Amino acid sequence: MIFRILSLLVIAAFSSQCFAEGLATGKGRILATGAVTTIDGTAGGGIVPMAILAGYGTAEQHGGVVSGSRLNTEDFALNSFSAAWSWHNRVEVSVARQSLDAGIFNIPEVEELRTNNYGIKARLFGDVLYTKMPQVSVGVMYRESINRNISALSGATVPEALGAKSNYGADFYLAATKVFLGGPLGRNWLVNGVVRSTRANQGGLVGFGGDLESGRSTVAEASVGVFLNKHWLIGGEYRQQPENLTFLHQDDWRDVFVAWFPNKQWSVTAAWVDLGQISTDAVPYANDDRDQTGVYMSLTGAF
Amino acid sequence: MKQIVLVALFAVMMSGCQTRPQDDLFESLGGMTGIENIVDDFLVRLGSDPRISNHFVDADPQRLREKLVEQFCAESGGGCEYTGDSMKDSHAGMGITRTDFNALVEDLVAAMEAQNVSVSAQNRLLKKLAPMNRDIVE
Ligand code: HEM
Repeated sequence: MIFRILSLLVIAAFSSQCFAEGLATGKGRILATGAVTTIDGTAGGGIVPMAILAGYGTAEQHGGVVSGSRLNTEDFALNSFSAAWSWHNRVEVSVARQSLDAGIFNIPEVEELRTNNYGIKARLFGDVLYTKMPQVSVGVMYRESINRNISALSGATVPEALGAKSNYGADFYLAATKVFLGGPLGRNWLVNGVVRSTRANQGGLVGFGGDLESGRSTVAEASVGVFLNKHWLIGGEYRQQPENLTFLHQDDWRDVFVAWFPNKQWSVTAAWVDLGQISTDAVPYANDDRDQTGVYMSLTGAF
Repeated sequence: MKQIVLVALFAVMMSGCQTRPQDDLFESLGGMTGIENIVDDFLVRLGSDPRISNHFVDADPQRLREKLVEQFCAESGGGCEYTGDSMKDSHAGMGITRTDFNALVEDLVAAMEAQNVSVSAQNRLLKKLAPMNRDIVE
C-alpha cells in the first residue's frame, strides 16, 4: 500500500515537473497503441513486454499509466500493482509490486512472496504503425525479492530457502513490435517478439539462479494479436522460462487474451493463463501433474 | 436464340469480373459517392478539430476536397488519376508533427465510421495512406 502511494507520488512529482518545464502530457498516439501493462509493470501484454512504451504520448509528449492485475490459478494467486511513465515516446520507467500467495509453500510467517520490479525501456528505432521496420526497444527489468530474513528460516530469505542463489537480479531484453494495417481478413495484426537474458525463477518471485543453472539463460517470448476493430484485440502470448532449480520445476508460460480499449483513459484485459506445472517438494499434497491454469484480469488507466 | 444471348451475356459478365481490379476497396468504400461523402465528412471534422484546425484556415476547401477525392479513389483502385501536388510538396514547411498526423487519422476514421465503412475497408485505406506520413511529418 505504501509502495503504491509512493509510486503515485513519484509519478505526480514527475508530471508536475513536466508542466513546470512547459512540456504537456498528451495522448496523441492512436487508440490501443499504448498497449496494456504486463505484470512486471512495463507496456506489453499480460506476461510478455512489447517495444511499445507506456501511455499515449507521442514524440512531442509525455504520459503514463497505473495498472493493477490479478491472476488466480489452482494453487496460486498473483497480484500486481504498477505505474509507468514515458518521455517523448523514447524512454519509459516503471515500478511494480508483485505478491504471490505463498500459502502452498507452507513456510511459517510467510503468507506472500513479494517482489519489487524496476524497469527502464528505451525505444531504439521504428514506429509500431508507421515504419516498415518494427518498433524496436531495449529494456532492463531489475527485480528484488522483499521477503527478507525470516526467523523461521533461521535468517535465510524465502527464495534462498527454496534454493535460489540470489534475491535480486536484472533481466535484459530486446523487443520488436509491429502492427500490420489491413492484414489478413482486412484486420490490423499485432506481432511481437522478445529475446531476454534472465536468471529469474518464476519471474523473480522465487529469486534468481539455482543449483541447475546459477547464471543467465537466453529465452524467447512472443505475442500475436488481431484487432477485431479499434477497440478489441484478441491474441496469445508465450514466455519461455529458464530451468534453474531442481527443487522447483519451471515450465514456459502462455496465455490467450482479450483486451478492450473503450477509450484512451482505460483498458481492460482478461486472459486464460497456463503457467505449466509448478511442482515443488515443499508441497507434498500438490498434484505434480497438473498445470497451473487460471484467469487473469487487469485494468490500466492512462494519463 | 434466347439461350445463346444469355450465355453470351454471362460470358461478358464473367470477363468483366476478370478485368475488375483485384482489390475491391473502391467498392467497399461505397464507390465515388461513398468517397465523396467520406471526404465531406472528413473535411468538416478537420475544420472543427481544435488540435489541427489551425493548419487548415488558409486552405482552399474546394481544391482540397477535389484532390482528396481523387487521391482516395486512386489509392482504392477506383481508376482515378491523382492530379494534385506530391505529399511532400503540399505539406512542406507546415511543421506537421506525428501528433498532428495521428489526430488527422482519428478524424478520418471517425468520418469512415460515420459513413458506415466496414472495419476491413477502413484498415485497407489506412494501409495505403499511413506510409505517406514519411513525406508529411517533419
Ligand atoms: C495520410 C495523411 C494525409 C493525406 C493523405 C493528405 C492529403 C492531402 C492532399 C491530397 C492535399 C491536396 C494537395 C494539393 O492541393 O495538391 C493536401 C493538402 C493539405 N494538407 Fe494534407 N494530407 C494528410 C495529412 C495532413 C496533415 C496531418 C495535415 C495537418 C494537420 C495536413 C494539412 C494539409 C493542408 C493544410 C493542405 C493544404 C491545403 C491548401 O493549401 O489548399 N495534411 N493533403
